[in-house]
Amino acid sequence: MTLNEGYMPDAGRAMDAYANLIQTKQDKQKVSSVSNIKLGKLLIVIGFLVSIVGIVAYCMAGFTTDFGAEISIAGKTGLALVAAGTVCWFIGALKFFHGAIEANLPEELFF
Amino acid sequence: MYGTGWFRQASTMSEIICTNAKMNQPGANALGFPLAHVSKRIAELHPAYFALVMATGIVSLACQSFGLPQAAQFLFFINVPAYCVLLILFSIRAWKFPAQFFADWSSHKRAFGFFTVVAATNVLGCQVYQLSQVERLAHYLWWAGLLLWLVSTYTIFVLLVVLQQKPSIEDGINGGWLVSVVATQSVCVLGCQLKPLVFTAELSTLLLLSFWLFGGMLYVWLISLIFYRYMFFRFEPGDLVPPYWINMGAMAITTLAGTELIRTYAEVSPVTAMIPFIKGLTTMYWATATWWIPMLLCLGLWRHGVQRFKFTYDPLYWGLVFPLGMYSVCTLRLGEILEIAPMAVIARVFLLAGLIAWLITFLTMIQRPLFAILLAVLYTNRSATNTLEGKNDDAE
Repeated sequence: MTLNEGYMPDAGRAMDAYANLIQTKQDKQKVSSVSNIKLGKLLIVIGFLVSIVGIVAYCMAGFTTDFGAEISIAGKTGLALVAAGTVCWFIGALKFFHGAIEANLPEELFF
Repeated sequence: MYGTGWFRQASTMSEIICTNAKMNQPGANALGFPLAHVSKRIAELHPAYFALVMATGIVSLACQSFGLPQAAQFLFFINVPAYCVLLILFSIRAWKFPAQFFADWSSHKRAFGFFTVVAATNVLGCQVYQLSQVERLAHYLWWAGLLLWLVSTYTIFVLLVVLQQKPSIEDGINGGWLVSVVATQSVCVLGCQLKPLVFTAELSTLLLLSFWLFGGMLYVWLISLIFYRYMFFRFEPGDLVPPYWINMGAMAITTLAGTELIRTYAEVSPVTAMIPFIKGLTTMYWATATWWIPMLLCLGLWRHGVQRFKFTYDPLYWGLVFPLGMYSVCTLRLGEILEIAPMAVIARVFLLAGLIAWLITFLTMIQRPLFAILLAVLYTNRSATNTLEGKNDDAE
């Protein structure tokens, strides 16, 4: 029994339904924010790791080829990995920030 | 769903929530908050931000030295706009926030950051010379670097001497002071590559040799104070700021300047007579740089591993990337002069470390502008939605 039901039953039920609707909407938004933050963090870490592997592959390929020679397949793969990792990181950062802003996290927590 | 402690720390007093509250007001100025955010960042802009250009430039030059031209060119294309954008931001800061800008010149903690402008100008000059072969522009950058060095040196040191209120050595000094050494040696390094004519060839050589010697002298003075601060004052994890890596970086660029003097002016007086002296001193500088590396790694481990100091982006982290790239280049050049081939292997390891450190620092740096852009987009969208809802309510 809600406070409003005592003197205006219909209006009370309508207000409760509206409150529940808002609550559900806010809960859904919170769930979405948390999942964005988690996915964003995961993509950021994966992006970093892939980029680092790419840098190592590119450097190793460069160190073993002659000075001024064409870039080898391994070198090109390394560069592609760096690019892919950076894109992955970028998407992750966008998702993370979007989730953090929606969840009203203070700025100092995510920088 | 807010199960982790990380989320529970979220405070409703935060700036973001205030922003969101403002966002919900119909008809709120769509770009008001993001502009305020950018304005605040410009007002707080650290004078040492040019370390970004220094670090990017030296990693690029190291890539070029090791036959990685794609990476070298890519970093060069990032560095030119970065230098221009920073110049514009510094100009805006000087014009819009003169109090903060000029206060930095007499701050023991921030003044030495202005020396990064000198070093960045000269490192960019090296890049222009080696990667684009536009020699005239490189010459302009060298003259600009020389002028900036004169202004920075004789403004900052004089202001700090005559200052009435001075901090204790514990609060005042940090590794960032050694950027003055880096700036001095950068004039010598670019000068050796360009061989500018200052009246006569001998006089030019003497000038560059003097810069190399000024840098060595400054290092001895400053590192004595820094080491004294290390040993005899309380040292908190927060005190170990990233520019402490300049302890090593300053020695690395001094080594590089020594090798450039030997390579370029071996046949010109007065360097000819001093070749054994320069070789010996250069090797000592390289050894000193090498000595610092394990020490700094241990201190970093203590800061982040033992004391659990949180890693957050700070422009000063560029002061950590620069020494890695510089150590790589100087080790390669010294190995060539001393004819010790295995030194190239050490140089390669440091190039790899420098590239990885550069990428991590760069990606961490662009988080803030990315956040500001995202905030602006969300803010604009919400303002538009709220305005529309407000109009609909009025119509009803």
